[in-house]
Amino acid sequence: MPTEIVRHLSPEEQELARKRQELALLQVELTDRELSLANLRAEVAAFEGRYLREVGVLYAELDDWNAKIAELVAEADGTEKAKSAAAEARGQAEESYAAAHGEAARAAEFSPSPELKKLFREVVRHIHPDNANDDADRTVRNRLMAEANLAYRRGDADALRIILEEYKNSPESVRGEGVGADLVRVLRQIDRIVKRLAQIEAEAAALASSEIALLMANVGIETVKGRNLLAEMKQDVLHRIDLARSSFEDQSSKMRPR
Amino acid sequence: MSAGEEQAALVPVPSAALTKAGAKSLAARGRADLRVREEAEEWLQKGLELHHQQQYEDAFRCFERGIQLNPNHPELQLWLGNMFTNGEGVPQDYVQAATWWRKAAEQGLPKAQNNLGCAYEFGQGVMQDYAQAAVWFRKAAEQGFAFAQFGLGNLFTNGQGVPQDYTQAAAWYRKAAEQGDTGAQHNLGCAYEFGQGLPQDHTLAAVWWRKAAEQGYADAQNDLGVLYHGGDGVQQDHAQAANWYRKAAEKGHADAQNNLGILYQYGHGVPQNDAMAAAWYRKAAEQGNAGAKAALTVMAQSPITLDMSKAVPLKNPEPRVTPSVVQDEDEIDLSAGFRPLSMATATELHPNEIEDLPLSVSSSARTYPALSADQRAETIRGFEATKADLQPPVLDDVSGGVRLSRS
Repeated sequence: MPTEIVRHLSPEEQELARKRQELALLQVELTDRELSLANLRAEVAAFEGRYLREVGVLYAELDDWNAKIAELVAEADGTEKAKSAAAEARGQAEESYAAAHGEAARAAEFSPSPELKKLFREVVRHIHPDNANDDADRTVRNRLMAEANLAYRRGDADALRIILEEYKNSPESVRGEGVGADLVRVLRQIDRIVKRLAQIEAEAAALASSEIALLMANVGIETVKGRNLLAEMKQDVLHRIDLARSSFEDQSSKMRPR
Repeated sequence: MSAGEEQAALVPVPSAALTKAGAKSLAARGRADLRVREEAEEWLQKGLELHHQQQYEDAFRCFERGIQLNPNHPELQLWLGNMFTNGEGVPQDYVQAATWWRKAAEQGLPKAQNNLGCAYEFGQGVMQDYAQAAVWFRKAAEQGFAFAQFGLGNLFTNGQGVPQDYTQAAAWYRKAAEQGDTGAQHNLGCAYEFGQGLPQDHTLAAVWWRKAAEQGYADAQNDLGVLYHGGDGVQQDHAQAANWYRKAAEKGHADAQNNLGILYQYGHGVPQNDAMAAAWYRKAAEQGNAGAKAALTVMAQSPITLDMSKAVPLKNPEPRVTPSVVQDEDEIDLSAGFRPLSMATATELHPNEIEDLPLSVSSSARTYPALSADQRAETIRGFEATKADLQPPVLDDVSGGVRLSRS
């Protein structure tokens, strides 16, 4: 490793030293950005879970009542138009039900402790795939990074520690030799990290402008003002459910005598 | 494997459903509903501002726009009801008003519950139904809405829609009175005065009547005057009696005009002045006040000296007191209705009869249930002028044209 002070650095060695410095700075930035992105993803997923459990399920219920009403009308009416309207309403109700009761709805609240954040930062720093020395190393890192992301999302500190240990002990973590090979590797790493940073930025921007994140931001702003937006949304849909239910009951009682 | 694919493989997807259309559309739907509700809220605020500026047609249009966006907005429903009741910006339509109020009332809005209660009490836009009035008043009253507490108290006093229960009435009056509702303060005073639902206590009657009187409530001003006149619950003070009678009389309160006439006729608390006495009697008589009519008749028949006029009317007060003005009231109210003058006169000439015929009882008894009805009628005519609504719209919150024009 050419890290010791050398009296006469070759131009190649000087270039390598400069690039190593550049790489080190980028690695720090990458770690920060990956952590922020992971936090944003987890936060949004947690909010989505809460939203689906509190409000989404009510939309599903509302759609179910509307589908029931449409089916009642179709039954009474018998026209193709009414039948297809009923089928469409039922389809919407099923889609809403699947969305409101799907995996996303089970996302738990996310509130990582400072220790967990620190640990995850450590993991990112050590095993980020863009710091890989070669393709074999990169493959291992990719797998571990995905696991680490999930562990972080779960708040599973033990899993993060195991991942870190596993990587440190893996033969891929040993670096190759030779200034030329090192320089090529460092340049490739820099290139990857720059690309990854752009990608992170794009993903964060896309995530932040998603409907669920905008809703989350909205709720957050109103919470500061002392207003519970989710509760208001819940109330609104509940009221609409009541209206739909009584409308359904009205119509079905009108139809029964026939 | 290209760099792009590698990167894609690396990006973990903690929320797989985030990209699914279903969950996304539920979030989009929530946000769209929020936007629509906020826009409806802006129309409400804009409408309130315009209403405050008495631009009723524009206000009504704002409320309509709002309700199209959010048909379940309770405040908008309330205000549409108010506009239809008052014929503001739209032809008056009590049936429509009651329909809108019911929607808002069923959502638990106290003002709408109160207004729907009033609609049932007066049969405006719905079949008159005191039991329903009591139901809706109670819902609003239990939420602490003073008007409804007062209204419910009146139903208990009159046994309308509920079994007559003075204790309940007094309890509801007290709740409203403590919130500063003048009608309730007056009626709570009446409950003390007559010992209805409460131990009789003239001093406390004076306390509550004074609270209402000081807020300009004419009935209470008259009744407090009566207490000063007769010295019940307060130190007798004819000058104070004249003072309170005058306040109410100048507002057109017939009993107070009559009572002020009495003070002038006999020079109590004011310099004796037959012309002034006759002038006040006339004002009262024009409103059908039987006592004042009788007093005028007597004054006309006895162009005698002051001392003589004092003596004459009371020799046989009863025959004078048979007007038909109060014929639609029940018998007790009828007798109570025209007794004040005779009693007042009696007070003047036969002080020993005062206890038998307390001035206060009659004048208050007449106003007690009947007045409350008048008070309700006033309320129903001007719902928008309820205390809460009188507050000017907070202009900071009002969107003005700018925010509304964005679509």
